Amino acid sequence: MPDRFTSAALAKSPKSSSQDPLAPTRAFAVAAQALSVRAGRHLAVDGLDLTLDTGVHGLLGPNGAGKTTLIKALATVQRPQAGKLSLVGIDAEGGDLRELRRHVGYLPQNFGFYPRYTAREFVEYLAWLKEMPRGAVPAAVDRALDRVGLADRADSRMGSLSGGMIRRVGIAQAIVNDPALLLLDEPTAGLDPEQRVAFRRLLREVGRDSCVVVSTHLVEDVAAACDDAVLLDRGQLVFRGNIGDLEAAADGAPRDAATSAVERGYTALLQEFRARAGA
Amino acid sequence: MTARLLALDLRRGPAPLLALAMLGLGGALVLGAPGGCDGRWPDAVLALRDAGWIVFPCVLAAGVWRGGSARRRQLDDAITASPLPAWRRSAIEGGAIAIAGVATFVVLLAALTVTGGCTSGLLAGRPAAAALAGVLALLAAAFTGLALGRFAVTPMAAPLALLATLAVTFVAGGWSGGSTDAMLLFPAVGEDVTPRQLTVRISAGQILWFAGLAVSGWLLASRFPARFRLTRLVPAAAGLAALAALNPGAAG
Repeated sequence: MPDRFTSAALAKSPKSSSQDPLAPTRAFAVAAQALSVRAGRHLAVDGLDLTLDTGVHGLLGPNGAGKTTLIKALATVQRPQAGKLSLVGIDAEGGDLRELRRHVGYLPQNFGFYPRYTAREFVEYLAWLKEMPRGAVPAAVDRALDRVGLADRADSRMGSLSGGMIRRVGIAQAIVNDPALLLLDEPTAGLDPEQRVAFRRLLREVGRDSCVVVSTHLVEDVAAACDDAVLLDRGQLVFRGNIGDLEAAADGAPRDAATSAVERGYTALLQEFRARAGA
Repeated sequence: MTARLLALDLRRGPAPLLALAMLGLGGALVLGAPGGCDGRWPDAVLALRDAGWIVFPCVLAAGVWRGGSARRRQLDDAITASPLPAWRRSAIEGGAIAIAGVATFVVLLAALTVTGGCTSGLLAGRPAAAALAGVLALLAAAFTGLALGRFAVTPMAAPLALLATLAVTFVAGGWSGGSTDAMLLFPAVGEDVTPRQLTVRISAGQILWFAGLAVSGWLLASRFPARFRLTRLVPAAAGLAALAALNPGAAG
């Protein structure tokens, strides 16, 4: 598989994501070292070390954990306060930001739209902003809308679409440029159960050769669609591992018929982290 | 790419509405004026320039509306994350407003020329320079509005800008005995001005002033480059200096 995260000068990207993020011949889709990012005056991401590679990564955490701020920093919308950040093999601070952004797809948490545009025009508009090659745009737009199940509503005005459909247009614009790094902030908000199942399928498909980071409150989405999970609290890394490890963290936690093993693992890890931090 | 984005903006942005408003308001003022142009093209240009008191604020308000639309619609994050440089996006967004304004100006001038038979002195140097100053005034209005819209994103910003510009134009206009020199800063020329008074020298000063204002507006709207904030105002300041140098007593 050609390495999508590095320039030709860099080595092919291996699957494992547990290596040294600063190794000179190695480029991860995301490599953050001691990364700190502010949200206003608040330090929302605090000294985070994280590497992510091909696959679907669930970004979990309670409200105020720093998920959205981290996603914004990965989307190069918010500049880091301190630390190092490399994305798709390019330094996010001193590197070619324009080139970097061509390889990123981003669905913000609050995704707006121009109501007078049709769905096709709107995705096309963002495809042009992503500087996609002229000849590739019409087919890429049609394909993106088809992948989110909106081919039949492509010529409907954005203002006439439901909240779930608008979210799917948001996902379509994020994937239209076939990004090497796809960042989705609360992508399933407003989607009905059937759409969520279809969306998880799409995630797994995109994650086969891209790095997908999904920020969500819905632990079951992570369990169903993600290869691994990253758990944040107060801007710090609480847990990083695969879904089996997250479930295993529930061992010893009180069982409750209303919660899944993943949810119990999530809660147990958070409580353990807070107890340690408070100690 | 630029052409496609521009076409989208022209079709779906505020440009069509602006063109319609300008045709309605400008058309009513210019084509419905008693006396017309008496067959003289310079008078037609002057009539159109004088309609600038309402047309200029309309274009500026459309720019303000477009400039704030991305943030108002919560699209700014998605746009910021895109690689297209802000200066190009601003050029496209302001360009769509400017095209609507300038095209309507040209259509109105052509309509007035044809329907009023204003062919005497057609395309003569003095009125042609005055017409060009009018066109650049619309360009300046579009990009200044865009810059204002980037900073004031409330939906009320556009109507407030419209009213404020109207008020300032009236105060500066000399309709109530004010200084006509101050009017050189605006596209409207005042009722009492004759084509002979609007010299090439005056128009050249206005052309430089409006061009400088347009460039400053574009730089401010692009927030480019951030570390040289004040230098973005240099083109407008240079234009103002040129206007003052060419027309002593103006702009002050």
